[in-house]
Amino acid sequence: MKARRILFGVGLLALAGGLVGRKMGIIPYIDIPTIILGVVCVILIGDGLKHRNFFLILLPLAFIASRLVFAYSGHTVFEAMGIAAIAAAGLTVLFGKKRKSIGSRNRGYINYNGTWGNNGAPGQPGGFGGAGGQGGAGGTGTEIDKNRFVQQPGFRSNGEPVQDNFGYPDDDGDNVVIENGFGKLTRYLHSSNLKKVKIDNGFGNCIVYYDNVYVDQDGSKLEIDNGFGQVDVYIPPFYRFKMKQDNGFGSINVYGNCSMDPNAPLIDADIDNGMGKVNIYFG
Amino acid sequence: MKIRVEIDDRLNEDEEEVVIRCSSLSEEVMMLQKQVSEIVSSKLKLEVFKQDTVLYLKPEEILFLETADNFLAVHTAKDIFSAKQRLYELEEILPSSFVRISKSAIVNIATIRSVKRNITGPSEIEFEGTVKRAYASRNYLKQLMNRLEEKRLNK
Repeated sequence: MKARRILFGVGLLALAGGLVGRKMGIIPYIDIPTIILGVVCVILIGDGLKHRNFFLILLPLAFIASRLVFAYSGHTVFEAMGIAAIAAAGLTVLFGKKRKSIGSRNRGYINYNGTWGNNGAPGQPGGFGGAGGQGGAGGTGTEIDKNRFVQQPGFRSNGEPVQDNFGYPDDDGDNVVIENGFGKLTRYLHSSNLKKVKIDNGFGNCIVYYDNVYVDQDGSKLEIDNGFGQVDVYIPPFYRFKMKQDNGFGSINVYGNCSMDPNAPLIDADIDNGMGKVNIYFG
Repeated sequence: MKIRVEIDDRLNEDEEEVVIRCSSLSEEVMMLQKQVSEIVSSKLKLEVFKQDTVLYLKPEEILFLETADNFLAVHTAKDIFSAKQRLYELEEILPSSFVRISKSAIVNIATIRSVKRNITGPSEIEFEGTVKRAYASRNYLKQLMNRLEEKRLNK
């Protein structure tokens, strides 16, 4: 959140500076829409730097440059942005990060030294995730070194493998991370011991259903970081709900009623919303 | 137009059929076909799953169906189920009150309370008696609005 606040702060300062400069005649050819677009560009550049996204850095930069620096040189905005897009593609090929899945990532944990047996089956040689696995110990399961975890999908943080459900999608594990950039993403959560859900949405529409979810006895965390898009989260009404919100220029809405039973598991939400919309539905 | 009913005791229920013999596909015939298929599909019960439980849902209980996460989610007012069929397969067998609202969703217009139009993005659909929402993409919005208007005029 701190970084986003700094971005908004810098953006607003740039807007104020632009307006003063225009009033004083220092930059007389800039109109107000350009200044506002410039501020949006500054925010996008900040986001691009944060996520090392060359398109998000160079395209707004090209827009600003074409409107301010090359305004009288005969170059159009489209020419500048076209050049920037090609350059960004080149930089992405050379220095870009590995492509993340736009959909969602699930996280579980497993001991990396391979002491896991295959569901504790007797005599199964080799465990998941590492060479030199020793296999399961006589059907009683295996010991888990909790200090030596690496993340693997399909496993819980206590080392248990998640179970498949008949006629239903696989269990997501107890920690779920959902990331959405642009476009629409719908995600149905299935977990028998949910501890944490993290939703990171940029410009798109992200819909998350607590479909077949059993929240951990100690409660579950829900972290939402929304930029300019919309996030809808559907939570069953039999959970308690606590919310900490940090809203910029967008809106955070809650529909329906959560449980008031003090014994019901608690979902502790931390919502950071920039200019988008976050809706929490109980039902 | 003659109407003839043939009763054959040897037929099972799943072998029963309605045949419309006509010289051309007129408006009247299409209307008749629609009405018959409405009656047939109103008997339909959709097989859905909730974990290891199999349930049979009446179409009128369904708000919308949506493909996501490699499974077909069937939404009722209070629950979500999964179905084994594909969306286009269900689109063919469900009653005409089910209308496609995006590439990945079909909605039951009989349950719609409001449609919040959005000229820049998908329009939000609210349902009777639930907080659930569905989204109609711009490509399918006109068709949805036409069907809602049709339904309103028929009432």
